[in-house]
Amino acid sequence: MTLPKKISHLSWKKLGESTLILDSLETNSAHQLDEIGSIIWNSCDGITTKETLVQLILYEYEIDRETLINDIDLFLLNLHEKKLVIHED
Amino acid sequence: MKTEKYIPKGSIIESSLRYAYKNSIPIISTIEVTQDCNFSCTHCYNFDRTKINKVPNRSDAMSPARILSLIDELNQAGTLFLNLSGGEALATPHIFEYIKKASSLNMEVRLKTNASLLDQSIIEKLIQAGLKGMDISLYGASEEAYQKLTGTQGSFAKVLGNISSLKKTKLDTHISIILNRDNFIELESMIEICNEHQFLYQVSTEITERYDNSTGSRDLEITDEQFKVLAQKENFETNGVGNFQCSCARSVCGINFAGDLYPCIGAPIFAGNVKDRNFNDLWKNSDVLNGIRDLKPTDFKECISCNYQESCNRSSGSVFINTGNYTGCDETVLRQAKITHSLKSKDS
Repeated sequence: MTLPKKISHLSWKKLGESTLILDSLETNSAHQLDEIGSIIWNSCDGITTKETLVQLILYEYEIDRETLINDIDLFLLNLHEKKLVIHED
Repeated sequence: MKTEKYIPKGSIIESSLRYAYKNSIPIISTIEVTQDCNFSCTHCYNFDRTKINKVPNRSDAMSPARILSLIDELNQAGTLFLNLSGGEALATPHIFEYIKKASSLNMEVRLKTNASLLDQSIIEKLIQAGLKGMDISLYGASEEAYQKLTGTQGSFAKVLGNISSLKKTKLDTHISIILNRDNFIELESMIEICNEHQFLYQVSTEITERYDNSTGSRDLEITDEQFKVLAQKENFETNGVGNFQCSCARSVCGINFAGDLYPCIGAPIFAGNVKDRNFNDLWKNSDVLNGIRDLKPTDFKECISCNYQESCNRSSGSVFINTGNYTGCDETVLRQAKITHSLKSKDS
């Protein structure tokens, strides 16, 4: 299963470990992602699979696999609700 | 005078700007993409456009290819907010390429413009290229005021029409009311234009000496009586006590049309040239920029002992242009601080 894609009109920048995302055209909002959120965000390209992302995070962090998968799903849902990513089927 | 805050205190953006400041990341960068302009404003800080509206030393200008690679380098250095300014930024036919490039790097690219060269098809083209916002300079609320200040005819109608067209788009549009002693009488009408279109605005009274040392640009500075009126407005703000150092050379930088790197586009202190040198290398290693980063409040000797700190609206860039001393004081700024102080004293 591939990860969703970032909405194309957004602006963003990684600052240290976190990421600042701006949507000045549609929702007029700003969002800040933490370290792991930034890794997930970076992988949201419509090509990378969820399994690749899981492997990537497990390689760097000591997290239980099932917990991580649940957290990623919740995080992606959150990004979707905030209109930051889109699923391309 | 900031009548509306562009960035609310305590916001995510503000904390990111703070992080950039602490770590000297140029999160807000301005490139002067051209010095060409269709207006001949008397107050222009570039050079005296009332005498000759031509770019001196055009051969010194950065090539479009260098501007494109510079945008890449700014992205690598951490720029998120990229302002493209002039002259008049829309006077260069390459503006769409620059916006497209910055947008492809996920930058929040904004255009500083007088809005007179826009039309519906250009607005659409700018949006297609990935523009996120516009910062429009407003010079009056009548054709007469525009003609007198910009030396052009029929500009006000065009600008007003374009402001209305922008309202129909999703572009994040802000307006800078450029106030001087001649158009002061139209301040309320200019504010009305902003409110009518529900655009955030700020009022700027800063008129500086010219970068080419020609004289006369400050002849239109607002009078003390006019400043008094302005200082009594509800949203009039000052810098506050002890805030001498701004974001220059830390979270902000500017590059002029010839590739000269400045700590801010409003503080033309030569820190090196990026035409043949990588931006990042210069940004990190310039003695001038590092010197500004190392400044302490005690280095602002006149400010630290000044009794009018809490009433001051000082900007280091403007003070540098007017006096040659980045940490010094300017007589207009001091006079205005005294007026504000006196008004505050009366209130209390």
